[in-house]
Amino acid sequence: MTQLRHFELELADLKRSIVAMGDMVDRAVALAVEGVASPSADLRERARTLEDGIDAMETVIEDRCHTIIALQNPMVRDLRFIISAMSIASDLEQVGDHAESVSKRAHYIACHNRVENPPELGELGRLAQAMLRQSMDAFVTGDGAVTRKVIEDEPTTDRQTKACYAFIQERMAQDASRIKEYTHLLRAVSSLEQIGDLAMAIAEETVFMHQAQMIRHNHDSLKKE
Amino acid sequence: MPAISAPSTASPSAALPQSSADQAPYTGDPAYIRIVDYDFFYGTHQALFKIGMEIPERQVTAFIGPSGCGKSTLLRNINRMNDLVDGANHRGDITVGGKTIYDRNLEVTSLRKRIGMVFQKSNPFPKSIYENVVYGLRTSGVNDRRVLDQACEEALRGSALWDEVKDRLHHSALGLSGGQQQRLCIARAVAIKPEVLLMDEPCSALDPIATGRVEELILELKKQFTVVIVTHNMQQAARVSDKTAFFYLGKLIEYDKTITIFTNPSVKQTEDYITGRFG
Repeated sequence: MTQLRHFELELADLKRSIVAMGDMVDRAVALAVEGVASPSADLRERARTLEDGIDAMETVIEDRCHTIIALQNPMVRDLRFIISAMSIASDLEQVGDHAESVSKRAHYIACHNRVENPPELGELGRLAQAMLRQSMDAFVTGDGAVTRKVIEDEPTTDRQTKACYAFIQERMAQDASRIKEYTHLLRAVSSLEQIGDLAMAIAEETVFMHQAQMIRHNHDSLKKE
Repeated sequence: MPAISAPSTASPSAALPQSSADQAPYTGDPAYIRIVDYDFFYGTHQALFKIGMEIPERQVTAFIGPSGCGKSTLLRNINRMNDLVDGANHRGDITVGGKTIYDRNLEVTSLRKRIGMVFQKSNPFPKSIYENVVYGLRTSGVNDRRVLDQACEEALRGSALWDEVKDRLHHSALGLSGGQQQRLCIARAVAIKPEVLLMDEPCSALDPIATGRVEELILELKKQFTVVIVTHNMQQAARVSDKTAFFYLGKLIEYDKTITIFTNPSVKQTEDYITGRFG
């Protein structure tokens, strides 16, 4: 059973890597949310450094998955785990991109004319971050209730995004001299919304991983526990 | 003996002999082989416990499980090979094509014409390639040279061996490679046009290339025969079979579509075995 034990250690190691990457991405999102509320050059720099680390982690995880598939012939839950690991690493990398984008936009605004944030923006950022944390919890525990919560929160991020857009568009119409800053703000809002969407995609992936159920386009099929 | 159709020059699958089951319209009988409350004993040792399953027509059904789980025993019972074992005894029934294999009036040799078998180790007779293929026909009383020639070519084409041996049909079969010998044994089995082909770890002694050829062949054979295969190779079961049965300690633990068994089995024991965590 030595070979199997080695295989299980590899799987455990891969799982730890995903969790570590999730933690790094969580910090990037936290910086983004903080940057939107109170932009600073320091936050921008830290976000850039984190993003480099996230990209490197994705490559390592992907490579590890390829190696396990090639050498170990994983089957059933092991195969689902590897497939999910690759998908989640890709989703996390995209979250990292969006988080860095938010930090970049916030920095731009800070360096130019400060503009008023939509009232819903802070809540949108916090909710997107909470969804990401919960989806990573679901990855570790397979808790269907947590997954359901993430999925149920997604329409709220949509509503908040629309409210932010409406607010920004109104300000753009009122003050054309700050149209560039508002455009950056608009894109920051869009990125935060997409972080929420990606968190939901991760939660959906965890259902496949733990329950062998594809719910991506059919949330009603999520088994009640 | 059903009439033998003319050999085709088209693909090997098109050239396969027509089995007796082929004469009737294909209905895809979901229970071509029906195993009912089947217990089996080697003397006092019970090897199978209350097996109940229905094996569909013209599909590949794989039996998997750790050594000693009873999968080969069950396979060998489908054409009553275990009748040859001293002290062998059974309860329950097995029907093939709706007829019990334990009919008192049934000659076991006629049953084995309906249900061919390919073994783990290729076992060509020490005869020519040609004589190996037509052996079953000769023992059934067919001696017409043209019929035998035609049947030999059909069976060898159907077993994807024709192109490799057509110029040396009268050479010894023992001169073939291991993979070729196994395909020859498959040709010998299909030459008598069985309804069912039983395969007991047919690739375990073959290299990956020969294994790949036999697996391709199995996928072709299922168009005309009901195939039941015992294998220790999980990947092979996943690749070639439509349904998979997992056995453990003489019991049928789980039986379902192969895609289900290999992606989301219902029983933890099945998943643990497939992922190598026990057995």
